Amino acid sequence: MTENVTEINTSTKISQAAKRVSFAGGLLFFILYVILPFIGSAYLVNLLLIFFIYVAYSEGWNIMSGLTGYVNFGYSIFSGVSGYASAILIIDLGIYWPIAWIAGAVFSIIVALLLGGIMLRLRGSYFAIGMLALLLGVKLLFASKYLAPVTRGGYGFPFIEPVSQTTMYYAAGIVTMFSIFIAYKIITSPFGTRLISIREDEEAAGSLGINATKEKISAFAISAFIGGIAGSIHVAFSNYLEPDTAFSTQWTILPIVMVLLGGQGTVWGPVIGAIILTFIEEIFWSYFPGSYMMIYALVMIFLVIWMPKGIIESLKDKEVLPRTRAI
Amino acid sequence: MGVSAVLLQGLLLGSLYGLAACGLSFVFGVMTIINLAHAEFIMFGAYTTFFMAVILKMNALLTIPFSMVLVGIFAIFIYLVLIKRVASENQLVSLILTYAISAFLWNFAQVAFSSTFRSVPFNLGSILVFGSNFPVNKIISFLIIVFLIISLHFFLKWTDIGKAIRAVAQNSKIASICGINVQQVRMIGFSIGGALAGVAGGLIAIQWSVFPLMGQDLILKCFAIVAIGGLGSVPGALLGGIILGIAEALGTSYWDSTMANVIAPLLLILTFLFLPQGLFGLKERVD
Repeated sequence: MTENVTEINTSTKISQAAKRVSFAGGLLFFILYVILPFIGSAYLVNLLLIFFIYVAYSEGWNIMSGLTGYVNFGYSIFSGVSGYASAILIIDLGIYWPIAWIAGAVFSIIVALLLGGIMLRLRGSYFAIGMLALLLGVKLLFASKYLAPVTRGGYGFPFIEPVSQTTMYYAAGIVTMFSIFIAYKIITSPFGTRLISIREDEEAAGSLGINATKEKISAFAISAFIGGIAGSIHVAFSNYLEPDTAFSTQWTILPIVMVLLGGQGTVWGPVIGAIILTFIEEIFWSYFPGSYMMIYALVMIFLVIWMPKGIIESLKDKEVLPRTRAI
Repeated sequence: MGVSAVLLQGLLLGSLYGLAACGLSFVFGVMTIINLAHAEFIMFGAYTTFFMAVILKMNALLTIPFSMVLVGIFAIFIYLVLIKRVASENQLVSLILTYAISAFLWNFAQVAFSSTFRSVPFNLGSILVFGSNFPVNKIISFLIIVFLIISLHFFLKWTDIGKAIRAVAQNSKIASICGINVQQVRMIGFSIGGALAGVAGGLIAIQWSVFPLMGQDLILKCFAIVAIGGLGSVPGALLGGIILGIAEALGTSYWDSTMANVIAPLLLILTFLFLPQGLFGLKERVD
């Protein structure tokens, strides 16, 4: 009896310690994040801005595909749609940029609810392929002459958004912290448990009374919002809007690799993956500008075969990290 | 163009699409793997034909067997090194793996061969059918495809390996009890899928152009075709290809070619929703 009580105390202490570590780490990052533009170079601010966008993309993808196991190969739809919507709102309608960015993300949610209602009734592989098809379809639609009066068609257009890079950096940081927070809240909540149960065995989950389609659509919509708002910032940062880059498969591949590397379904997995891969990307981009996507693909191959669980789950398996879903 | 001419064009186009999708359907039938890198295998075949025809100055038709063999061997390599390791896992893992392989291949092609559109010189003039000019090379390609599909059919029906492949496709557990080496058959099956992709690539190189991203458009058309025809069914793939070809030909004639490209993803999603097993789809697998 005494052993059991000690064990319970130890595991509670570990979860508490885990929460404290998370909090302390977050506080440290927050302080660094706030003062960076004052002590660091413009290059560093730029790099961290990209990093924040990638973390947000990855957390967004993770919330849907990492938890439910429904691989979303069309994730770029959300960032592209939101990017287009927000840019058009700012350039054509002169709307204040934070409102435009969030409006773009809300537009992504609407798209997700419409598409999700259809696509999420399909089984896993069919969903994945269908999303791949949808991405191409949406890209063609935005490039077509039917939407060209609004979207300027296939050639796109350059623009400058009335936001400085430092402001974008701070906004991206806020979006990233928000996305990690949402991921933490979802993963440690009953909602998150329901999503994970869908991944593990959808039919059994259904027999327990879980409405899988409804849960999937919710996760899909949240994923779309986060991907959307990160996409708005990304497009603002790129200063050029065209369907091929806005809806590029790159913004799907990158989050997938980062989440696979860090650990799908974990809170900090996407962050770890983003840290490592942004670092790799910066190195490769200087030396082999054309090849870094190739390297990413190789990393993805390696991960899927030899480390499908990702870093954080592997560390949890080895008892280095506590077995709590809060990490 | 008259309707008959458009239909014939659709048939010629569709046969090529059908061959491209055939390999994908075949591989799924034998090993339940959806090979997202299939279109990049096609691209590999296309580049092989291009290099042999342009650099080695071979007759384009003669390069087709080389494309077939080269991609077939490459497929064996990919299977042994990568695919075999995840074959036992759930389908989504192999989906991500083949997606990654595809991403690697087309990025590699962009780096190695640059994004320039290449073309293969092979012009035998055209003949007049139904009041429109049809290039002879498209008709020859149609004949090659028909010959290949018929050969494949007899290969599967009469040879021992063919029967082994069909056995594994139907029920791999019982096939292995009967003494069939399932791993080996899967490897051969994947290789045949690759070989078919190689031929499709060569024929596409002759008729259209070769460029690194050609797989990205094609893979969706292949999926649409396989969805219509039914995963795992080779005649279904051919029929689905012809259906898509005719639909696109009609779309290009009476609408415009950009919107004709939307037909494939649209058909794909509609088929998934309303006819998920396709026209000739395999019933629930016993194993």
